[in-house]
Amino acid sequence: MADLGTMTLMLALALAVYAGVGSVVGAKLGSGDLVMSSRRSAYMAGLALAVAVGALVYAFVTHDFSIEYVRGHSDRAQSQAFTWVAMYAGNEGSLLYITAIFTIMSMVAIYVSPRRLEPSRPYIIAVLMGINIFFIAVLLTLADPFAPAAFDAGRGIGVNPLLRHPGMFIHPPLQMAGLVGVAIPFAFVAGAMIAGQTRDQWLDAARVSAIAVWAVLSAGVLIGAWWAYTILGWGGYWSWDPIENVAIMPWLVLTAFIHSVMVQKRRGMFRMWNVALLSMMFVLGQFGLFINRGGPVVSVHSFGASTIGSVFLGFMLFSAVFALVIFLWRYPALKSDRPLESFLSREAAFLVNNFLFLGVTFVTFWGVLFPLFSEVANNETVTVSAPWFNRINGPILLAIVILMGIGPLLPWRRTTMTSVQRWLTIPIGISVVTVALLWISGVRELWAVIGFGALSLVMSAVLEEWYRGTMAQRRSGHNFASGWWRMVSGNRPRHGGYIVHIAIIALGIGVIGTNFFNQRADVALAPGESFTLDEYRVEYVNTENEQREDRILEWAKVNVFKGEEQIAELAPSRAFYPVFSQASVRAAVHNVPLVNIPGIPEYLNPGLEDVYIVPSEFLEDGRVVLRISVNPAAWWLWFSGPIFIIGTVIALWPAPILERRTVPAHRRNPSTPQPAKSVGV
Amino acid sequence: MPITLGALVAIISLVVIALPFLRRSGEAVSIWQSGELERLTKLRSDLYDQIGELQTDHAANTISDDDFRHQLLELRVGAAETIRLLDQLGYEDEPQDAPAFLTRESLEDEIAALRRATPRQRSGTDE
Repeated sequence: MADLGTMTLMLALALAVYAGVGSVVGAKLGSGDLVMSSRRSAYMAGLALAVAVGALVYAFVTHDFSIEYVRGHSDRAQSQAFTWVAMYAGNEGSLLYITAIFTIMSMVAIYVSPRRLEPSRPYIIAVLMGINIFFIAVLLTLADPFAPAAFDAGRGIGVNPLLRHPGMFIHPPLQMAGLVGVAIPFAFVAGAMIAGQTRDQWLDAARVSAIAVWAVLSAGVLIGAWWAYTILGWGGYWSWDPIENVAIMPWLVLTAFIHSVMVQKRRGMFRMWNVALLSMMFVLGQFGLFINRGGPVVSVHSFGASTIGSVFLGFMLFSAVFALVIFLWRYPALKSDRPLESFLSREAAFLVNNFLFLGVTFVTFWGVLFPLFSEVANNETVTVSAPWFNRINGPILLAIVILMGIGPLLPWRRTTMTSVQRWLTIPIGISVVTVALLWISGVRELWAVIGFGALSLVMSAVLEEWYRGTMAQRRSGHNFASGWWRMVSGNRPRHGGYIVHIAIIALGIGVIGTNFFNQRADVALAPGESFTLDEYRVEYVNTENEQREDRILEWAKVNVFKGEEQIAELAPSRAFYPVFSQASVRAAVHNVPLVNIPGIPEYLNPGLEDVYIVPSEFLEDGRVVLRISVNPAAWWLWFSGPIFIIGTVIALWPAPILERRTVPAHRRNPSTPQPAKSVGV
Repeated sequence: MPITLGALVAIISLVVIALPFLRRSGEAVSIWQSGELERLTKLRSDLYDQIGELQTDHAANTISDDDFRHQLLELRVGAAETIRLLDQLGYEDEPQDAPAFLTRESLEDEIAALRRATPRQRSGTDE
C-alpha cells in the first residue's frame, strides 16, 4: 500500500501543477479547452488524494508495520474503530488528511461556483492548486506518511492515549478542515481580483463558502472543548492554549466577515474591508498551520509537533505578501458605492462589531506571540495564561454581545434617536430587570451579572424582532406559527443569523456559569468516606482495575447524593499506558437537570449544573485522590452546538426554487434578435 | 496490485483531462453571455429580496415612512434597470408564482408613477 500511496501522491502533485498552470495559461490564451481540462485535472487531484488516504487507512487496518507512520501510531491491541483516528493522529497523516480534505472542498467549491465567476475561475483554481501543491510537496519530501520503517517489529506503538476518545472522530477532522478551508473564500476573492472582477461578482461564492467553513470550524472548536472537558482532567474546556488560539483567530475574523459581507451585499459598501478581512483570515489560517506544525510556541497539543515549522513559516509569509500585493493592486477599484450615512444605522453597527472582533483577534495574536517576543527581548520566556486573556478579551466579548442585542434593531442607512429609543425600550428594560433580579437574589459577581444582563438584551431583541415580523405577517392573514415561518423563510440569512445569536446566548450562559460560579475541591478519600461540595455528597465506594494488553485501567466507583437521595453512580477512570509512560483520565460527569422532562434521557434535560469527578491518583493505601467540581450551566455549552447548526443551515439554505418558465424574448417578440446558444460548463 | 491500482487512477485521470481536447467546444462568447445572464438574474433576485425585506421592516414598523419610500424607489429603479438589461439579452425568466407586487409589469408601472411623483430623486442609471 505504501507504493500506491506514494504513486497517488506523485500523481496528485502532477495533476495539481497541471491544473494550476494550465488554467492560467488557458485563460491567457483564451483556450476554453485548456481551461476545462485544467479544471478536470483539479478534480482528479482530489481523486488521487482520496486514494492516497484510502491506502493509508488500509495500511492501518491491515497492521502494515513496514510503514513507519503506521508503526508509530497503531498497534494490534487498539480498537479497530480508532484506525480512522490513528490515520490523522500524527504530523504526516494529519497533513495528508488536510491536503485531501482541502482538495475535495476545493473541488466542490469550483464545481458549485456561480457561472458569473467564469472569467475568474481559472485564477481561483490556480490559487487553490498553489496551496495544494505546497502541501503535496511537503508530504513527498518532508513528511512522507508512506515512508518505510527502519525495521518491521511486527507491532506498533499505538495511538496517543489522549486521542482515544469519541470526540476525536469528529473534532480533529472538522478543526483541520475548517482551518485549511478558510483558504477557499480567499481563493474566490483573490481569483476575482486577478481576473479584474472587482465589484461584487465574488460576493455570494465567498459568503456561502465562508459560512460553511465557519460552521465546520465552530463545530470543531466546540467538540474540541467537549473533548478537553472530559479527558484532560482539569475540569475546564478552554485554556487559551496556543493551538486553541490559532484555531479561534480565523474563526473570529470569519465571523466579522460574515457580518460585514451583508453590508456589501445590501448597500455596496465595505468592499475593500471585506477583501482585507478575507486576506487576513487566510494568513491567520496559515499561521495556525505554522504553529500547529512544530511552531516555536509550546502547546499541550504536542502530538502534532514536528520540525517542519520553518517551511510553513515561509509559506505563511509568502501567503501574506501574495494577499497584500493583490489587495494593493486592486485597491482603487474596491471603493464603496456610497458613504456611511449615519452612525445610527445597521451598517455602522456591523462596522463596530468588526472592530471588536478584530480587537479580540489582535489580543489573542499578541498573547500567542508574546512568549517569543519576551524570549528575544529578555532572554526569558514569559508565558501568557488564561487569566490574562480573560481579563483583556472578556470585556471586548461582552461589548460584542451587547452589540448583538442592539445591532439587529437598527435599520439600514439611518434612523433617529427617538426611533432607537422606541425599539430598544423593551430589550433594555428586560435587561435591567434581569440585572436587578440577579442582584436582589444575592448574586454578587459583577461581571457575571452584567453578562447575564447582556444575554437577556440579545434574547429580548431577537424575540422583539420576531414578534414584530410575525405580527406583520398576521395582518396578512397568517396565524402565529405560519406567520413566523413565513417571516423566517422570507429572509433566511437574517433569521438564521438570529438563531445563531440564540446559540451564542446558550454558550454565554455556559461560559458565565462555569467561569464565575464553579466550585472545585481535590480530596483523598478512603473506601466508604465521603466529601460534600455545595449540596452534593460524593461517596467513594471502591476501586476496580483491569490489565489490558496496552494499558492498566483503574476506575473509582463513587455514589453522588443530593440531600439523602442518591442521584448518580459514577465510575471516573484513569488508564496508564506503559509504552507511552503516559496516563489518561476519563472524567465522569453527571448532569443535574434544571427540569425533568418526562420521556427524554436525563442528559438531554436542560442542565442546571454538572457534578464532575476525575480521579487524579490511586494511592497504594487504597485511597483515591479525586478532583470534584460542580460546574453550573455546563450543559448549555454543548446545547449551543445543535442550535448553531440549525441556524447555519437556515442561513445557508437556498431560496425555494420556483417553477420557472424561461421564454426566449425572440419567441415573445419576433423583432428581438435571437441570442447566441449558451453552453453549460 | 497496488501498482495496478495506481496506474488505473493515472489512466482515468489522463482520459478525463484529455476529453475536452477531443470534443468540439470553445464558444467563449456564449459562455460569457450565460455568465452575464446569471449575474443579472441573481442581481434581480437580490433586489426582489431586498424589496421584500424592506416591506417586512416597514410593516413591522422598524423603518420610517420617509425612509421606506426613499429606499423602495431606489430598489425598484435598480430592479427595472436590471430587467431592461435582461430584456436586451433577449430573455424573460420570471418566477411563475411571483407575488403580484414583484411582477415586471407592476414594478415598471409603479416606478413610472414614483418618477412622476418625485422627479428630483431619479438615479443616475435611470433612463
